Amino acid sequence: MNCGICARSRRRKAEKPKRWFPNIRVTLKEKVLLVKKTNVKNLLLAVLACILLASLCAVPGLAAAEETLIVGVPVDRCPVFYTDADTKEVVGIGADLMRAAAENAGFTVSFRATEETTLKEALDNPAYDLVMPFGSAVSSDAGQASIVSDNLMQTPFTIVTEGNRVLPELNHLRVGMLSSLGGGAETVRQLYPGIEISMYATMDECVKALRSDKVDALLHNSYVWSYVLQKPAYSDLTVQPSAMFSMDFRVGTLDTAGGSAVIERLNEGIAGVSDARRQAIILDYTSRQLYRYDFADFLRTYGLFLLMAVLLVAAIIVIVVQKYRAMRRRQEETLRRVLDQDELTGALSMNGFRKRVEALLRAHPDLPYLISYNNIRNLKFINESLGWAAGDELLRFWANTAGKTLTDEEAMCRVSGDRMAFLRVIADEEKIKRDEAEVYEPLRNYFVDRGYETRVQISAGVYILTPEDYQNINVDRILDHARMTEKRVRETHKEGYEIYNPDQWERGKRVADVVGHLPLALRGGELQVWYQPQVDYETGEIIGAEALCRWNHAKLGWLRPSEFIATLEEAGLIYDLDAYVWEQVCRDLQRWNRQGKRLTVSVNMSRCDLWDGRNIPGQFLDLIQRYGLSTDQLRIEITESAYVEDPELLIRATSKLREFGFQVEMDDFGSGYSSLHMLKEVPVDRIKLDLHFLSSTGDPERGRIIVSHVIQMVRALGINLIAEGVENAAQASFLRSRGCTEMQGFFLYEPLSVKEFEATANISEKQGS
Amino acid sequence: MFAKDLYTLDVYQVLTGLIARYGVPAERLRVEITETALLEDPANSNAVISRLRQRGFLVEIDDFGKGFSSLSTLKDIHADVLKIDMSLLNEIETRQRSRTILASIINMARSLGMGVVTEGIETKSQLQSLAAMGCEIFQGYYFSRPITVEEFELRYLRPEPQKES
Repeated sequence: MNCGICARSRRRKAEKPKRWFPNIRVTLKEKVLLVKKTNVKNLLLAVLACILLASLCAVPGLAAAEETLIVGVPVDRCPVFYTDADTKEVVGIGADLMRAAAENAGFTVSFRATEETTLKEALDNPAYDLVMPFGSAVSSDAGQASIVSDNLMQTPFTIVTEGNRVLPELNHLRVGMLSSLGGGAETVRQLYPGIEISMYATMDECVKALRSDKVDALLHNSYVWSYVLQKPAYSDLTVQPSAMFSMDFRVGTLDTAGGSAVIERLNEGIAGVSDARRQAIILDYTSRQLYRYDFADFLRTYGLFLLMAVLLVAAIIVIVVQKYRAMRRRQEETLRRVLDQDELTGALSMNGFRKRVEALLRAHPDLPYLISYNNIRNLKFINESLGWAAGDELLRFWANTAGKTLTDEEAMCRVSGDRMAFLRVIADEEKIKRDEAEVYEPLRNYFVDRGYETRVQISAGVYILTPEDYQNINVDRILDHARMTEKRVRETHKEGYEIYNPDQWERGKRVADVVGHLPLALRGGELQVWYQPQVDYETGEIIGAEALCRWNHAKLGWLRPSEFIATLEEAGLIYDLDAYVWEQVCRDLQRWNRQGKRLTVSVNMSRCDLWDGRNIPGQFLDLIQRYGLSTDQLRIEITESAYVEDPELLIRATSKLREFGFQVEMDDFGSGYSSLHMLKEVPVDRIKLDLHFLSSTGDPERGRIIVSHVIQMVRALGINLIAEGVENAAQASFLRSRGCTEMQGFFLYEPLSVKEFEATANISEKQGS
Repeated sequence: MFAKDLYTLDVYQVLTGLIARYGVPAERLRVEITETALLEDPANSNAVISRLRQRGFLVEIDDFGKGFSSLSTLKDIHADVLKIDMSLLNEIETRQRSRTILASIINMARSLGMGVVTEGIETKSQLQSLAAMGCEIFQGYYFSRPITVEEFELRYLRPEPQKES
């Protein structure tokens, strides 16, 4: 019943305490209600009295009336007042002390967090029976007088400032305080009238004001500081122990009759709180780590650690992902190897071989290749007489031995069973002999060397790749040729090998001999520049010469240009040869100049020389300057077919050469296909009419007619003319009769070595001196 | 007649068969062989041409100067007429060089005993300069575009019966 009354009384707000029965606070807002209530009250009183009596007899400890007081407190000041995170109840030093005092006085207290900005405002709120804490009695916000209880405890107040800031005297201090400490602020003003107090809603704002020097220090309850300064962000704030004073900690309410009665009774309870009890409560709260880190605090404290942890995790993830990918790659590679590689021998599988050969042919269209298809004829016999393991061992030995002789541009494959195929670069005889000694002999004698009588019989078919095979790559077709040849060898009960296309083999070998030996030939003087004199048939005078080259090949003997020029062009090496000849010619011309004989020499230029962005006209100019020659001493011969095949590039180079002062000749005119269109476009100085077409079959008279008209035409075009390939007196006199007197040919002079040429052209040391 | 005709058909058989069937004398049919065809296989071409000429056909080298030419082909092929391609003419008025070359070719052909037809005549000045070089037979849009049989008959064959009537 009693509780029921209290509950109701709590629900009813703004009720004046009753003088006649001050122990019971019944709140009632309207006077009207009060009248009604009086009757009820009388009834209640009677009931209460009965209960009171009964309880007095039953439980002496509860003899005192148990009224509940609603106490409004600010909860922004842990550990004095704060809301427990778990129970949501208001607790703290102040709360415990108040509870102890109220208990002594026979009250029950219920704390409520004040919502008002200041305690002064809270005083005016009738929802609270009491408000605390106050240092002294202050008037309420509405201007009503208040009364306060006796001191519950002496609260130490401490000044906190930033770092080692030097503070002015207390009386001239600018101090920041929490708005909720309004009562305290008033007390401070009373104590230190000179102090300038600024109020801030939160501790954060207080600290901000301190940091921006709006205030010199912050003032608060020491117990609160002990809590607040646990915040990592405030670690730079320091307590000023010297500037400390204490304030009372009292309970207040409006100065009414009811209020006075409660305070009076409460004072008795306060007096009953022992110092020991007080100290115990204070110690209980101040010794606890009450501050709870929020996320910002956490970041501040553990930020670096956290960052490192994040980085570590990220690094681990990256490593794991990479490892996983590497593993995947390895797996894929293993799979590819399984598909592309033969398990027994480690050679390529047919599948892998096909791919590898295609890639090699595509990458090296200029390398002469052969493909060989090999078969161990008596493997069946070996397997039966020596066991399967012996056969496998033999195949492994073969692949291993042959593998060592392969270059990166070659490939090996186990086609099936006892068949192996090889893609090899065609080289000289040496390589074949080496293979024979290093691979095939040990293979044949594999078992003999190990004490058995069985000789391994090998049959092989070889196919030499043709230019068409490079353009239209078909590995199976290529291999089929070799396979067919091998079959032929095997069926004639022969060992050894046969070549499918021996002509191609000879050509391939020749290419290898020519291309492979060029660098050595250039260095070792195998290549010589010879000169074929050019003559004015009218006077018999030598008017110049064409530089030709002769190759005294170490293995093939003397080679004529027609035997190696085309090969070098195909292999992309003609420039090396041409540049070598140009240099030699310039060196000879310089020597002859010094000996007093200024000659003009024609040198050949291939259209391939202009490829790869080479500035050939510039190179000629450089040569001339380096050897102290004049530009009219060099004639650059470019074949008619070059002009036909790549007119734009050649005409550009021709114009440039002529611009520099060189004479340009169209070589081999009439020997191949001509383009009449081109003849009118090309700006050459001289045309070299090739007479070779005259000597072929057919009507010589018609040839002569054509030659006379060509001579006429060339002269009419204003181009000089020289006839080359003049082979007999009849041709020479015919040409002279048609007005062409400049000639070159066997009839006049064969190509001569430098020595012979110098003798013929009357160049000698004597003339020079 | 193109290159492939020379090799895949027995040209001689076909042509003699045709003149026999329609009772046309061989000399009324001129056989044009492109220069390209001749270059591909001069020996075989020459054999075919000799037989056709012995039988009485007139053989013309077509498209001369259009692509590549070979002096040795010109020497070895015995044709009756050299048809010089019009593309050589294109610059004839502006370029002295073209003129020179063309004149030489015409002279050369005549010296080799061949008649010369220039095809592709488009303007009067082309006609005049070519005539000055000694060319006598012409063909081209300047005279007429290729026309249908009916049109051809109407334009070139009708007047004769009119005269007779």
